[in-house]
Amino acid sequence: LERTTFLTVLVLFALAAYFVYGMVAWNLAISFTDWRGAVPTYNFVGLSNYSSVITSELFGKSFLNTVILFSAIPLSILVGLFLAFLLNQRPMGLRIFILIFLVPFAFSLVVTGVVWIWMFDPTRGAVNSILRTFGLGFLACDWYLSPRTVLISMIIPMVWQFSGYCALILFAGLRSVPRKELEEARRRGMGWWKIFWKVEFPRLRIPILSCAVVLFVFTLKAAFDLVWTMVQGGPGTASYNLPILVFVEAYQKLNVAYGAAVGNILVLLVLCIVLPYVWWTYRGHR
Amino acid sequence: MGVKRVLGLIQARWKRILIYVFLIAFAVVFLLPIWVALMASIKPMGEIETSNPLSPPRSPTLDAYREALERLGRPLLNSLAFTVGAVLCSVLIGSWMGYVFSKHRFRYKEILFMILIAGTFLPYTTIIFPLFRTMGTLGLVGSIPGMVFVHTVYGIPICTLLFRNFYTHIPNDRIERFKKKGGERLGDIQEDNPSRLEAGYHLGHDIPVHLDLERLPFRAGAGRGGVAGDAGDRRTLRDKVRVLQVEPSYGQRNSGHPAPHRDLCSPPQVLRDGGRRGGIMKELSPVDEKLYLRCVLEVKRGWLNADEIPVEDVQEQGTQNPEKGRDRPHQGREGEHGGGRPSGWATLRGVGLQLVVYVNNEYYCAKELILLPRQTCPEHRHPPVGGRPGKMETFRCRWGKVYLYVPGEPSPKIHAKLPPGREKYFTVFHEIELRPGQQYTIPPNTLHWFQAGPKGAVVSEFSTTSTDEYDIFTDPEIQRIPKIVEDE
Repeated sequence: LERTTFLTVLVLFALAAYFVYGMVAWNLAISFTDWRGAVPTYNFVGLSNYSSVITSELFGKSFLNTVILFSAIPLSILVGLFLAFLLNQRPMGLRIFILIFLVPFAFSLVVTGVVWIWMFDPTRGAVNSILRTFGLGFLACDWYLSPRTVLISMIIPMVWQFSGYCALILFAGLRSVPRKELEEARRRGMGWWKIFWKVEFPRLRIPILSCAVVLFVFTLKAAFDLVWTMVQGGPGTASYNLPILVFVEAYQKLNVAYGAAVGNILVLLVLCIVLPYVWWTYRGHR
Repeated sequence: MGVKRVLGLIQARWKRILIYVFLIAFAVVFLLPIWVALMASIKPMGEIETSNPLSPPRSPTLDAYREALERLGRPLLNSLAFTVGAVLCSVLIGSWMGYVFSKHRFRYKEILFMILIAGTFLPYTTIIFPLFRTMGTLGLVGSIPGMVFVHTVYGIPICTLLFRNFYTHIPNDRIERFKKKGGERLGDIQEDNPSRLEAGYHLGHDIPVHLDLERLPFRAGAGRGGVAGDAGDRRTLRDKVRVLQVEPSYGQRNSGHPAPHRDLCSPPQVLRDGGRRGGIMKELSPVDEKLYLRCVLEVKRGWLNADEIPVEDVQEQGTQNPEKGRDRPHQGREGEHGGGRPSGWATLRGVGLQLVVYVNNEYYCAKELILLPRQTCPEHRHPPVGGRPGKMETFRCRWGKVYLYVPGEPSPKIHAKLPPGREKYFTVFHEIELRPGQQYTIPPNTLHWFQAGPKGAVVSEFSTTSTDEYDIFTDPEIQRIPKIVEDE
C-alpha cells in the first residue's frame, strides 16, 4: 500500500471510528453520571441510571414495542419471497413490476409516514374506505389513533416500504439457482412446491439472512423516523419504543444520563445481533 | 363459442393467469398510497373532505404545490444543499475506501473493515448528544457544512460496504487492462466469457495428466536415449522433455516456509486470478489437482528457483518406455524413489518452461505452461507438419504476467530481459503483455518467444496438435542439443 493511500485510509478510518465508537464510548461515560439538564455534570453515580431504566415501566413497554416493530422484518421477507416467486415465473413486464415494487423503498421514511397517515385516517383515509367498499367494514378501525392498533399501523407501512427490496434481493437469489438442478428436479417429477422448498429455498438462505440484517437497520431507523412522523410515540405512550424513549428522555426531558443509559442498552442489543452477522459474513465463510 | 374458448384458455393456463392476478394486485397495493397522496395533493380542500380518497379530483388544482413551494423555499434549498453535499462526499470517499478495501492488501484489513461496517448498524438516536457536543466544539452546529460533515462521516461505512461489494465483482484483470489502455470507460473492457473458460478446463479423470518439466534447449539431449528405439524418426515430446514425478511431500523440502497445505485446500484462493469462479480445477482428480496446484504455488511463492529444479534422473527416464509412461502417469511416483525427494538437480538457466499436458492428440492439445520468474522460452515457430499448416496456439495467462513477442512493429520498450549471450537469436519484438485472463492467438508458422514477468507466470495453452519435435528455433544451438549437453 502506498504511503499516501495508507495515510488517507487511516485518517478517514479514524474519523469514522471516532464518530461511531468514540461517541458510543462517550455515551457510555455519560450513562454513569448524574447529568440532568442543559449543563453537563460529570459526577459518577455508578449503575444507578441503569437500574432505574430497567425497573421503569415505560422502558419495559418501549422494549416490547421495539420487539413488536421488528416483526416487520419477517413479514417483509415473507411478502418479498412471494413477490420474488411471482417474478421468477418470468411474467411479461418483469421490469415494470420490479420498478413498481421498488418505488416505496426509494421513499424517505418521513414521506412514508405522511403518506400512510393519510391512508389510515379513520374518516377520510383510503384504507377504511376501501375496507368498507369491499364489505370488510368490520376491519375498519381507528388505526393509529387507538393504542390497540397503533403498532399495526406502523408495521404495515414498514412492510409496504421494505418488501420490494426483499423481493429484488430474493429474486436475484432465485435466479442464481442453476438451470440444471431445476431440470433435474422436474425430471424427477417434483411438484413446483417441492422444487421451491427443496431446490430453490436452500439457495435463498444467505439472501434472506442479508435481507434480515439490512431490514434490521432500516427497522431501527423506522422505529424512530416513521413512528415519530406518524404519532410521536402516541397515543399517550402507546407506541414508545427504545429510540423514541432515548430521544424523549435525553433531548426533550433533558434526562441526559438516563437517556444515555437507555441508548447504551439499545446499542448492546444491536451489537448482539449485528456482530455475529458481520463476523460470519466477512470472516466466517471464507 | 367465444365464451367456451375463453374458458378453455383459462383452464389451460390458470397458473399463469393466477400469477398475473397476484402480481397486478400487489402492484396496485404498492402504488395505492402514492396514488392517494397524489390525488389528495391536487384536490381543493373542500373536495378532500367529501370525496372518495381514491377518486381523481373533479376540479384539479395546483394551489397546494404553489403554497408548499412558497413556504418550503428555504427548507427545500437546505435539504438540497446538504443532501447533495453529503451524498457526493460520502459516495466519493466511500467508493475510494471500498476500492482500497477490495483491491489492496494490507494487514488487519478484515478486522478494520469489520470495525468500520459495524458502524453502519449503529442506532444514531443514541449518540446525538455526544455528537452535538463535538460539533459544538468544532463550531459546526446549525450550519449546512456541519450537516454535510456529519452525514458524510456516518455515510462512510455504508458507502464503503456497498462499493467494496461492487468492486469485488469486477475482475482484477479488467482493471489492469483498463489501466493499461487508459482513457476508456471500464465498461468498454469486455469481460471474458466464463463459460468458454470453464469449457477449456472440462477434463475427465481418465485423461493422463503429468507434470512435465520441459527443459527446452540446453540440457535436454540425454533424454534422446530413451526414445532411440522409438519408431523411426517420430521423436516424441520426451526428446526434449524430462518427466518429473512430483512427490506429494515435495513441498516440504522448504521446511522453513509455511506449509502450502492451507492454500491447497482452497483452490479458489489459489486460482482466483485466472480461474474465475474457482471452477478451474473442478474436473481434475484430487491427485492431479494437488500436483498442479503445488507447481503453481511454488512458482508464485518463488520457491521454485531456476537454479533449484529437481529433475528426475536422466538415465532412469531414458530407460522408461515413453508410451507406457504416458498411459500411466502416476506410476513413477510410488516407484523408485520411495517417497523421498526426486533425485537429480538441474539448472534451467532461465531458459525453458514447465508443462502440465492435459491432452495432446491428433486433433487438439491443451496444456498448462508454468514459467519461473523471468524464465524465457526462446524464439521459435511451428512449421507445417504432415500437410497441416503448423501448430496454432492460444495463450491465456492465468497468473502472473507474461511478455509475448511476435512479428510486427517492434515495441519501443521491451520488458523482457534477453538471455545473456543469446541476444542475436531474438528477432521479433512486437510485445504483447498478457495478464491473468488475457489471451492471444499465435497463427501457425509464426515466430514467437515469451518470457515470464518478475513473479513468474502460469499460462494455459490451447492449440492444435503439439509436435514440439518439429519446432524450428532461431537459436541454432537449440537444434544441436547434444553438443550443449557435452559443454556442460
